Amino acid sequence: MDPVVQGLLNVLSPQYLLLMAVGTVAGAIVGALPGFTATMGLTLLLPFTFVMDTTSSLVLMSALHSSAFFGDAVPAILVATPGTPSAVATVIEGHQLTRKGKAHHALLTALLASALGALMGGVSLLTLAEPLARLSLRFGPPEVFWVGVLGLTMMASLTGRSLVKGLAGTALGLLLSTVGVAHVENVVRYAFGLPQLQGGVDLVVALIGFFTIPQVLAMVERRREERYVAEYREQRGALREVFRETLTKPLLLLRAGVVGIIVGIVPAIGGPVAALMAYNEAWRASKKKEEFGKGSIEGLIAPELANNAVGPADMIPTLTLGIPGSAPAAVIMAALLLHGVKPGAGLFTGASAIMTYTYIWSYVVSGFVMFVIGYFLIRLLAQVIRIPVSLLAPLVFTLAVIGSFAVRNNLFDVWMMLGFGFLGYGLRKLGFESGPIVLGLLLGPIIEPALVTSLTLAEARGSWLHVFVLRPFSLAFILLTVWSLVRGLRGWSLMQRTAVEAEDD
Amino acid sequence: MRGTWRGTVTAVLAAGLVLSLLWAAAGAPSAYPTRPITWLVAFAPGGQSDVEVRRVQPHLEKLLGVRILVEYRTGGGGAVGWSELARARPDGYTVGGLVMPHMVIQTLLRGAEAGYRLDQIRSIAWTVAAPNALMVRKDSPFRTLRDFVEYAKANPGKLAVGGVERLSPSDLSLAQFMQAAGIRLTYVPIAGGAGPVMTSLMGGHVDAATTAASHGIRYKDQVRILAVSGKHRLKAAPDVPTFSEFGYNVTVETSWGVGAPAGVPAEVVTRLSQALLQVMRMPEIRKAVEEEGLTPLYYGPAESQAYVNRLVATYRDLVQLLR
Repeated sequence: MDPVVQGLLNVLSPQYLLLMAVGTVAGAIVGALPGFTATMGLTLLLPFTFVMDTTSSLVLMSALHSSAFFGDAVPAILVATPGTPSAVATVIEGHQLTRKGKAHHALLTALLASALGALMGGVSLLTLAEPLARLSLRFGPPEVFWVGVLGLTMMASLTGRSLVKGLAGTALGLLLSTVGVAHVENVVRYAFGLPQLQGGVDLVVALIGFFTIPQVLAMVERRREERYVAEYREQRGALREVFRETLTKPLLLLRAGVVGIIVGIVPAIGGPVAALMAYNEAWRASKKKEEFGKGSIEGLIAPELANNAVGPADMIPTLTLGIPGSAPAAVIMAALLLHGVKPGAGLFTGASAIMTYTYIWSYVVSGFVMFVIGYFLIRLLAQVIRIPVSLLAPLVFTLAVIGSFAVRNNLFDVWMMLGFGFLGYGLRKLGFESGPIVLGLLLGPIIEPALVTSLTLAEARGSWLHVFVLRPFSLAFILLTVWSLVRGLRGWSLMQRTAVEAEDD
Repeated sequence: MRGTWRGTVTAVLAAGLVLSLLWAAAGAPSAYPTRPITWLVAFAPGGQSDVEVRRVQPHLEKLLGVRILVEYRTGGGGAVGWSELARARPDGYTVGGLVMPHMVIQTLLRGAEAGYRLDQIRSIAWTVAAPNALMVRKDSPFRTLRDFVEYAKANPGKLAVGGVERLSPSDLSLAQFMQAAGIRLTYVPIAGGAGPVMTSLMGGHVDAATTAASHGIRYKDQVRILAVSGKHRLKAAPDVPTFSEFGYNVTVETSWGVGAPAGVPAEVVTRLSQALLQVMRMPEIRKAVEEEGLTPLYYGPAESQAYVNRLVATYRDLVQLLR
């Protein structure tokens, strides 16, 4: 029987479905705990896979990998803390929805979006692995550079009132990203002689600092007027409404999915950028831009879908070329190698074919498993809103401290997180949104090494033009960047005008 | 009534205390290790350091009878992980994966700022080595190293050779090669490890690549290895010549080992090195290592120290080459 079909039948068997259920629950928990990343979860799982056969290990890992990017939406929505960096864009709209009393609704939307993302990513892995892998090889350092620059233009959707402040925030983020050992040059910058700073600013720590702490402080500030984060209203028929809202926007879903898949195959760029790009895309194409920043459902669906599509897409270069597209993919590849399986064309034919296709199908099916399990988990998790702020704020704060310590087992990170927290809080009071800062922090490590490598390449080729511009994909990304910049600016000024008009009414 | 209660409680506590002391005393003479060992990995999961610990972990756990807990401490080209290793308690329950020449280079380049000194880490064993290789794509016009050198002589600086970041084995071995052959190539540092270097090569963004030979073996359908460093040809690629066969003395290679904070007790060193070498000698491990294009090393504690000293001397000179 055709291995593709056999793989599907395998994955639907009770044995593997059970494994997927276990993986899904584990992944959701790992994702939901700030400071714990999917990579960590997979690494913890690795020794357990030694005693299992290869296929079971892979299925378990794929389920965890997939559901971690749903789990991370939970704290993002409920308490404005991204569970993993990929949920950074989910915080923006998700938490606003919670404050409007629609936490349950938001969680269900995130769940459906995540499931659809896993489905789309899985299908791309299943059907387009070969061509997409070849495409990914065409993306060299200059292309990565331009994608990074394209990413910078997304600042427009994150900046709130003032464009200048958004630019300043992004610049601050870029500056912060240079702390530590330079990626290519082997010099240490801004470490002030402290070995702990050699490792630079960790993204998770910065996210917790810039997003969670200001939220906690804001909660505390408002505690007299708002004893609870939001009113908890049990919503009947929420599921039906979520389905209706989400499935009637096929273009939005498609755009977000494509962003996730493309980002997955471009080297060096990961979940958080995919989420932000999808968010920006949704904003750009939206007819209801004024809702963004105040609880836009479109702004919630797009990033959650994209960050789930990235996972399976990351596996495309990993399985076909043996080059892990991201840290979680690297761990899965290590598992493969340790089971004696070598990535490459040989995976899809011959003896390994059934195993490979079982694994690939498990990403597709993980969407469904995630949805079913997630639905019940959500009913439980939404109850968090019932905790009064006087208890919730300290609780979230504790989680923030634990989470920022957990990343590198480094107490210094906790101090850094607190520093960023107060900085972010103060900056927000002055009109500087946290989004652009985090964007700069995210993109710095992508843009800088790509730039340095490309410049060196240009030296060898003797021509800047040839390396930076006269390459098909670079050219495409440059044009995309210009277009994005123009649309972004127009969209932002439109948003300002409607906001002013709304105020005048 | 109360009197009896107090008496009973005291008796039970006393008995418990005596029993636990007896148990501890009985436990004391039992050899190391008695509890899980933490293994610090200085590079990202999925990299070769990770692969090396995962290779031995299940077997070591069986041999030693305790769990091995892997923890990642990445950053600074390994410096973050090794500084932590150097500062850990030398009781044998914290060990770390070591990588040469990265360990030496960090200290040579950054002195005190690296966060550790070589004498703060005791090498216990070195398990595998990978020579460096110069590779081109299968469709490249360069079929042999001679073609490559000829072209480079005629076109100084035009050939772009990708490698892993700066002041790495990639960079250093290319510098040795350039000096020995009297040619000028442009070294293109690529961030993120050997993976991106290989994709840059396969995608046609650079003309050649230099990194550990194991990567060339992995992609042997798409790349051609022109030469490898070191004294002997690779078992996994017996047709590939060494640089020295052409008269170019290129010696840089990468090796992976295990170490503990200096001052760790001798019995720990003996026990660990014995177990590690035993695992590495297992036929299936040896086979896997060779198939991956790596060379097994069986350096125990004494040879490890000598090895490290040799490397320090070599790299002190080499780093000058690049400055």
